[in-house]
Amino acid sequence: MQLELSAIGAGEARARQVEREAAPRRAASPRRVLAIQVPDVSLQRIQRARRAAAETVAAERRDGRERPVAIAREGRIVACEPLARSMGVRCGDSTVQATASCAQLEVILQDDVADRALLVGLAEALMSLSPVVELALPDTLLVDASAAAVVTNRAGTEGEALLARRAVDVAADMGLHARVAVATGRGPARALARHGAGDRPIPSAETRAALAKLPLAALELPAAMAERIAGLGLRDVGALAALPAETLAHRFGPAGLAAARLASGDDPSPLVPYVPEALPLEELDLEAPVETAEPLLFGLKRVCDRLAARLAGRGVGTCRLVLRLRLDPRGEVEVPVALASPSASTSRWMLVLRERLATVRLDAPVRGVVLTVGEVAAASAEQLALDESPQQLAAVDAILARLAARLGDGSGFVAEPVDRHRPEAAYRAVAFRARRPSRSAAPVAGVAGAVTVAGAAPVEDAAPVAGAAPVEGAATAPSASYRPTRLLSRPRPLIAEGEGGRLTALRLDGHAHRILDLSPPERLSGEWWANPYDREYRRVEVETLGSCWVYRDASDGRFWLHGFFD
Amino acid sequence: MAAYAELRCKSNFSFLRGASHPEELVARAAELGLSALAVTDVDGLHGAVRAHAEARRTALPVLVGAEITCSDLGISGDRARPLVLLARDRDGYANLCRILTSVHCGGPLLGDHAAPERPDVAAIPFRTVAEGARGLFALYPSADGEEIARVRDAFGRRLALAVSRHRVAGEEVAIAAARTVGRRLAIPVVVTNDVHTADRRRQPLQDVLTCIRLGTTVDRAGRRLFSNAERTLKGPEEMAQLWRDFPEGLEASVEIASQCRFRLDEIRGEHPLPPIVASPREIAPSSIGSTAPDTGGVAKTGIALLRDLVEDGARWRWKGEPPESVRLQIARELDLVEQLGYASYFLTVWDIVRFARSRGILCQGRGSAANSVLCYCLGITSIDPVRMGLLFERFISVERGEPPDIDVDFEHERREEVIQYVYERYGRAHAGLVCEVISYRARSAIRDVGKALGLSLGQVDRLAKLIGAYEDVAEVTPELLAQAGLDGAASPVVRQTLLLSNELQRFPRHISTHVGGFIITSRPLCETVPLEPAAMPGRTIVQWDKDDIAEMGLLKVDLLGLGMLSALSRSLRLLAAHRPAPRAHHATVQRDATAHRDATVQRDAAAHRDATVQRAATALGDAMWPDSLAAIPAEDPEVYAMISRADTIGVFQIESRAQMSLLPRLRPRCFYDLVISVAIIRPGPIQGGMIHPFLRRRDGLEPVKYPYEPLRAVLEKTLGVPLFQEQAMRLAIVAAGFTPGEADELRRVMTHKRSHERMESMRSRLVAGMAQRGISAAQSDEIFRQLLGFAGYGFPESHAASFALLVYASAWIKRYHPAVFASALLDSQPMGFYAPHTIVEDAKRHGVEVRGVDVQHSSWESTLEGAEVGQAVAPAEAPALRLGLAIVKGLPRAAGEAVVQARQDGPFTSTADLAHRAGLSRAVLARLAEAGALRSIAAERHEALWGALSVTGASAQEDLFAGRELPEPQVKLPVTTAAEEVVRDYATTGLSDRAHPMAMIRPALASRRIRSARELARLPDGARVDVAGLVIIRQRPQTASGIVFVSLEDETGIANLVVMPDVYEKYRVFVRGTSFLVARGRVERNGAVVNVRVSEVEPLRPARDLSIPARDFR
Repeated sequence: MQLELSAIGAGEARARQVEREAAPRRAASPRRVLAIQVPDVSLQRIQRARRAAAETVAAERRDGRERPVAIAREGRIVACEPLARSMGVRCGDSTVQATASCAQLEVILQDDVADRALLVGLAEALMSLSPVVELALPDTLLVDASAAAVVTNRAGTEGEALLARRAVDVAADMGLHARVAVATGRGPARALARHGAGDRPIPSAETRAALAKLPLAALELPAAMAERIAGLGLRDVGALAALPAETLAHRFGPAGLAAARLASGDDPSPLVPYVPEALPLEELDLEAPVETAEPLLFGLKRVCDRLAARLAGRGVGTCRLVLRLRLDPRGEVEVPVALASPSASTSRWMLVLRERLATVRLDAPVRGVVLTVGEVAAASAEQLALDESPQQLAAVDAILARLAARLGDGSGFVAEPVDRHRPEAAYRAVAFRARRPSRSAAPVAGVAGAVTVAGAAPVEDAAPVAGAAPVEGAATAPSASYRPTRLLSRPRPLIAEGEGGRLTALRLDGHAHRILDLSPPERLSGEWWANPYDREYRRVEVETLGSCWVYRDASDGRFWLHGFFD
Repeated sequence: MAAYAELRCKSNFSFLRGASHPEELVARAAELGLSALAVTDVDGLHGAVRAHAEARRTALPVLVGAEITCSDLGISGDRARPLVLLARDRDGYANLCRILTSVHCGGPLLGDHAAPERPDVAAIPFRTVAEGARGLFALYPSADGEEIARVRDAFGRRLALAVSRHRVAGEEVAIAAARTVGRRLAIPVVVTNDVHTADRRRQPLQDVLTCIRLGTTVDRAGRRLFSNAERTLKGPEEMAQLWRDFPEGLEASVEIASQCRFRLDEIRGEHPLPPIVASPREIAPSSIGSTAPDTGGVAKTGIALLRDLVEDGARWRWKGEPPESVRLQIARELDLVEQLGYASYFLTVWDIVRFARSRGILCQGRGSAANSVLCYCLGITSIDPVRMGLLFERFISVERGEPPDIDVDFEHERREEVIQYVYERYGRAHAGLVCEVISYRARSAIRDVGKALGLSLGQVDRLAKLIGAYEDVAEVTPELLAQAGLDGAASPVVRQTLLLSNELQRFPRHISTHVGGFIITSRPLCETVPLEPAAMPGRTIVQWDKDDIAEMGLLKVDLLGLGMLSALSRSLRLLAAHRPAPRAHHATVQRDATAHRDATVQRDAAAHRDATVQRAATALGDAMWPDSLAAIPAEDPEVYAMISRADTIGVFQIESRAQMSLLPRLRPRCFYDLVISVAIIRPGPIQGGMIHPFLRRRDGLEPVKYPYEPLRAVLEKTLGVPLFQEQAMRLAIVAAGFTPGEADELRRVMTHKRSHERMESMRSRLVAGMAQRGISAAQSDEIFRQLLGFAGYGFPESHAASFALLVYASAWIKRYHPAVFASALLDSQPMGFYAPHTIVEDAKRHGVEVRGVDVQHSSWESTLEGAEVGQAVAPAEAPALRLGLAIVKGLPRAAGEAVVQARQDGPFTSTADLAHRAGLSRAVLARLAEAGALRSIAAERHEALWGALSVTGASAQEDLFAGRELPEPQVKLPVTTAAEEVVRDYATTGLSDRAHPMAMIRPALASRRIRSARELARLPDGARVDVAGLVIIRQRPQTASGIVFVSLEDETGIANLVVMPDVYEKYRVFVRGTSFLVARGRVERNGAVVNVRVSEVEPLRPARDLSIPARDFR
């Protein structure tokens, strides 16, 4: 060490030491961040949609009869148009107060999902300026501006200013007005974009001074702490920054220290990049065009393996694949593939793919395949029972796939019970999920898991939904034997014929059918709040038709055939 | 001709199960021609009395029963099973009540029980039911042979299997099974309809009730709703048609109904009370009588004891032998009490009052009991009914056939001691509080129905908030809906919400504890009415409310809490604590004070006003520091002068806006004027149009006249205008020849809710009686009109007189000891019309120095200090009011008391010292600092909070640094401005000792030419004016035809606004929901009464940071 000192000299050694010490600090220094804020994002979203709608309707005139718009959240106005403001509406007013101030005010509830979607769109557009964009909900995006010089080909703040202008232009192209700020660190940039003048990039050394003029709310401190600090009479960031950090740490713990640092313009937290959601795809160029199914399926198996592994890695599966076959020399055929249940299993995919490919007729050999996931879905791993095997489950998929191939997509579904009295609403069509038969009870006709083919008769089951057992005093659930095995998707009109007050025959499609037996009536009525109905159902033994489920509509006395007890 | 009795029927007293009132069910059953109806509510007899009352009107046999759930009757799976129990006889009814008590209390409460707790599940083991099966008939709606066999073992031949046909899938199988089992076990099978509604049209409401109960919405409820509307009352013909295959089931229903002969009439008038036995030593508490009566040295009870007590009390009241008129009245009352068997009732109340007095708890009888000289002699009431000429029959009459009703007010903060004494004295098996049925009102109905129909919480909240607490759903207009952001015209769900809310109004929601009605019985109470644990620990309530109790003729004692008695008690304690000198001759002074009071009563007060004040201030000395209500100098002209100025904020009963408008015109000059003042601002006199004639006659603006000369004796003291219920009764006696009992019946009709119709029916009787006395048709019309006015509501004179005593006492203390008065009011909150900040502002205007809450000087409650901060009040020194720590919002009492306790070792030297010695957490310290309570330690509020936040919480005892201030750099915080101080004061304590918020913005207001309340008083009639202030009261009395009265407070006083209905509708949002208002209008001056008739209203924007809730009244 001494030798080295003597060789390079003490002064240089000190300089190197300083450089070494400075190096980690530089590495840890916060990034330059561009914050772009979309003020009143909900309002802008709605205004943008209305402008677009207006453009499509050229005749639309907004000749002073337009209704001012305000956005409300939990009964309070959170944003409003200038016109509404001019009529006395204020943010923070209750909607009642606002509508009292401006009777024609149109109050629209804030839609967080739609607002987020708007910001996501802007984020993806801003990725043209920087690969790292963070969604800082509810209304801001944070863009890594460290490489502004590279992107703009201008150095320093000039480059950052240009970057900021471009960001604003991107937003404007999307029909949005935005405010921007470029500063050091996420928190300062965000605070300056939302509350500052936003007219120029703030050099690192000036961040503290720029923040000092902002209100305390700009720091977005935890509510309890913000309330306490306000109780101390502190009104702006500068007042908070003037307090020694250790005194805040003593009073508020780590949050106090963080607040002190933030007030001083020091925010080392990294950006959390937004990652666009993408549906994975895998492709394969065959070494030579193939004309038969076997080599194609062989190659397809490899593609499936890769794609299934990617899905499995994400812990999801799919119930919809899209297979594109590239033809030689040109052309492409798309084969949609629906799976009976979400899966990330190659073997189960292959069964269905094999079935689908068998129905496809091609005009040319295939030179390549692209397999895309059409839609991801949760596919939790299942513990197999001792007497079960994946092959068994796959076999069910195969059957379903065959049915779908023969009858068309969407033709098979499971009728899952719904807790409703109205028969046609007492089930819903859901995707098939294989269920193990109960070991303690014999299978019951119509339990969830049986397959119904649309256009025929869905199996209706009125057993109570799990966890929603009828309560004391309420109606008990009719067992399956009181519901038809086939429920018509649309009731068919009947004409009743009778003698001496007794029903003797039913006329269906012009043909009379003698009634052999009638059950006691079951009366179903309700849903008065939306679509009231009042029906008297009977199980009727009809000559030539068999056992039918027939009802008389109490509103008009007409008879209808609603199902069959097969 | 078919016959059918419905044996299973739930009313809306099954709470969110049935959708019809018991009265509706009974009326409909009678209309349908049912043989009988059993009202079998779930787990209770809450609606039984109402059904019974309606049954008496319709002559329909109504069986008493209930449906319970047995927790262990089922054999497998869900073992809970419903079981319907019907009372066959009195024994069966007692057992039913015991079983229902067990359902709620876990046991029948027959012995000495501790306060029961509500069990988690309202189900009962079948074993308990079986033990009390005697006298009960059971209906079991099941077809399980094994279960049925268990029930049969308990009930034997008093069991039937219940089957219903509701047109639901599968029920035919169950019916067939039940009939098979019935045949096999020889048990009759009976048809019921498990009725939930009186009419099918109630099915939507039934569905909504189910959703409210289950906390869901109609479109999510699914099959938890009934599948159709068949659970409704059906007539015999319809049932016969429905059960053509099983007519025996209908016959069985009639047969069972005939077996269940018990009717609630059997317990009507069952009111034996536990005997009160007293030995000679116990009989005369020192506070009531000075000498013990001669009881012959043995303990006595019953009427003998009562006679002794009354005799002794009479000597005490009249300081020797009472006058002949009094002795005659006492004898008459005692004879009547003996005849009706009410001696034990009087003794019970006497015993309770004796207990309260022995504990130093202020109490006083109110209501019609003050008509009784017996109550006066027993020390229950404080008004001499003979001297006041009060009508005893208002209290008890033979014709009425109802027990008397004695209401006693106690200090509201100590009433619990009295309640627990009653439980201890009589046992929980014999004493219970009357329940209060909490029913849906417009706002609550809209909230629940709206939620059930799927409106958002925000929507129902906005709609509910726009409706006044007592408004009707029918008053909801499209404009109101629009203000709530709802489209009532186009939205079906909004229309349905309103329609169903309208139906739901007045439906019972749950039961709560009545303010103080006690029922005490000698036989176990749970054999008369089922008991339940109250929400408040340590209390049990019965399932009937006060109207039910009255209907059943049961004896009830009302032990009521009165905030003003607490305030007066506090005042007396403060006066005792701050007397200038120790009392050397208490007895002499007391005698002097009493003598002075009596003398003053005799004199014409007006002639000696000034002289009396001087004497009171100087010569009386001790009389200015009374130690009891009785020792307060009577008929003080200065007090009446203050009242006549309407300077009555905080004064009992006469502090309301309406009263304050009346007082300058009434100008009370004597005690009886106060009695009138209390009684005249009531719906009865107002609706009867009696106020203005009375005032005009009093002012000599119109002659005093009588529609019938013999009525002069009745109406003379109120200048020919009937103001009291007793006068209405006497009027009927004198003018129409009614007996006193008949007159009381008339009075009851007048105060009944539907009295207008029944009054008309009595009209012919009155007119005939008056015609017999030669009263002309015009005169009888006028008399009848005056009587009709009472159909609203009027006070009995006795009640008004009892209250007037407290009016005078509170006014006297306010007049001479404003600091004491304000202190007592503040510490007795909640009470009265005004919020604490108004009381404090009023005290300031009366020259009281108000000192802020301070850990170095404040106790938990407010205190009085001398001129020197923290020092005792010196003689002849006006005390300052030191606010107590209790006003600091969110400060735990234990923390406040720890501060006071720790301070006994010396003043706190620093915030850390305070934290360390009082063991306060950082959060508590911060709360104290924010409230300005550390002002003596850290003068600047921000610094106080800064310091408080730096102290390590002392709660962590093991922390080495607990309660220590660690060295740290000095910081400079912004100085708190005066306006900020006021805002923080209001935010943390609800008031400010520094300034009124309006004073902070007065310059800005002045620039807008907005007048202060004081300036307003000087403006001429009709002048246009803008006023602004803090809304302290909003009133919309039913008698005011939609007019809203708003009181605005500023730093100079109170401005009274009159908002007419059209203006209210236009500015409803601001009038109802804004803390600070600017009102524009014209001055209306009527003598000394000044109002502003408002034409425009706007919120006061500069004061938006402050939100101070006003008190809203009907």
